[in-house]
Amino acid sequence: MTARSKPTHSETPQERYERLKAEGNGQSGDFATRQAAARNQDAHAIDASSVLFDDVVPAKGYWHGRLKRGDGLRLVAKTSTGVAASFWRSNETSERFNPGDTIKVQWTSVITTGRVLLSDMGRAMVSITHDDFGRSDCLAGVSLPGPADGPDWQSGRAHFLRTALKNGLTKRDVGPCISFFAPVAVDAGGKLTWQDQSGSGPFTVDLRAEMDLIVALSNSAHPMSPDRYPLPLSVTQFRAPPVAEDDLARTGTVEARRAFENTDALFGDRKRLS
Amino acid sequence: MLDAPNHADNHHIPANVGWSAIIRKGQMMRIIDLEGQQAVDTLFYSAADTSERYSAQDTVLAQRSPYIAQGSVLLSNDGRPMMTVLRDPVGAHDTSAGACSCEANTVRFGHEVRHLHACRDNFVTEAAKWGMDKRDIVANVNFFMNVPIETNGALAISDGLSAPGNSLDLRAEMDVICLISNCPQINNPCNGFNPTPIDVLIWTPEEV
Repeated sequence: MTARSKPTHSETPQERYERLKAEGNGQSGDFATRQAAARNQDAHAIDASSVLFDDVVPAKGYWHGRLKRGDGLRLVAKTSTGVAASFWRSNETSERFNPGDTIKVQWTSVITTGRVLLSDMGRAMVSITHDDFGRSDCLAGVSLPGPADGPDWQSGRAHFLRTALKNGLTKRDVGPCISFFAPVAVDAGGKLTWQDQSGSGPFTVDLRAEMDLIVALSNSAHPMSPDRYPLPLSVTQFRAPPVAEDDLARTGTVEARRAFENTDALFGDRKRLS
Repeated sequence: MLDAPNHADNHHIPANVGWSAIIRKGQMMRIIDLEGQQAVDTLFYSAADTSERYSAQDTVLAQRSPYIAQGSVLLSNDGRPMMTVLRDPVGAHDTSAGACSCEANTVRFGHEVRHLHACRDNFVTEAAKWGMDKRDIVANVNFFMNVPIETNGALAISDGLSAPGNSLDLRAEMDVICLISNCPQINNPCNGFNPTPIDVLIWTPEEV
């Protein structure tokens, strides 16, 4: 493992911030290289014997399920209209996905292969182990009920509300989310843009649960997607392969390592992978 | 700049602490960055039903920009206007990077900072005064905090743009409960590495 930059003297908070920012921006460290290598790999073949659940979510439909720590969730989208996702910790649902921490802590709004989805309690809920689309959105959220796309019950927000209510949660548990297959960026003028995708589908995102989770997915079009017609989404829950010692999400950045230290402590794991 | 009338309620919020109050529909709220570069983490809830609250993502989507500025309408999770930014001299306030927390601080800066005070501790404490809890703490707006998002997606907290004495004015579009954490963060530039006090003025404009 490449050594992280270390302070050569007692750092001021400013110095530490600048050092972490340089690493976070790829000016030092090897995350960018490792991520590029991981992105070049094909999605692994899922052994049939490891499949726990398999479904197809229709256009403008939704899905919710419970993952155990170590489960994988494969999403295969035929098109890039976006798939919104949100997460709660199963046995303490007040702990939930926090996109603000996720992008701030990882120094980027490009949350893709090798990145983690953080909870509001400084823990890794999910690792993104594969993402051949390469772009997701933590900024703009989902569609509200309204005239745009058809019946109110097919809006992303209505999907998440129903998934919350079916899992013992309430409206106030429905907070900000992430959308996969959603190429949202900020342009030089500070405006949100939907960047044209390169290449055609299908696109695969593999997620790995790092704690027991409630997962909600919405297969309605992202509010910024110019294409308003989603296609059916394949969802497969499976037992993921054992985590390698050099797992990118676990070891790629100093921040992620610490998030996993916080996460593993839930399970009595004091062993640190490196 | 509109003069705040003498009858304005003036709330002095010391460095590092939380604060909350009800602001009635039509009232004005002025947040004054007394010493400059102070991040003011803020949340709004409908006073009639706190399950309706500020939604950063709905606001960012509606205005197609991640930055809060003059003219921005802070929307609720039901898509309704809660507050309008009527006057803002700074030009860009963050609503994507969220509030600091003891827990996220350990991830960002190391486990050794775990006992430093942080905004989400202020937020949950203030929330509890209104019958809310941590489930109600959602993505907030960070007034006077400068977090440019680059075209390649990179983002970082940069030096604040707000000079001493800067203030911004918001108008309440519904009765709201406002939670503020006067950010105590000393590990990144959001407060210039020096948390300082702010003033919050609330008043009802004179009928013209």
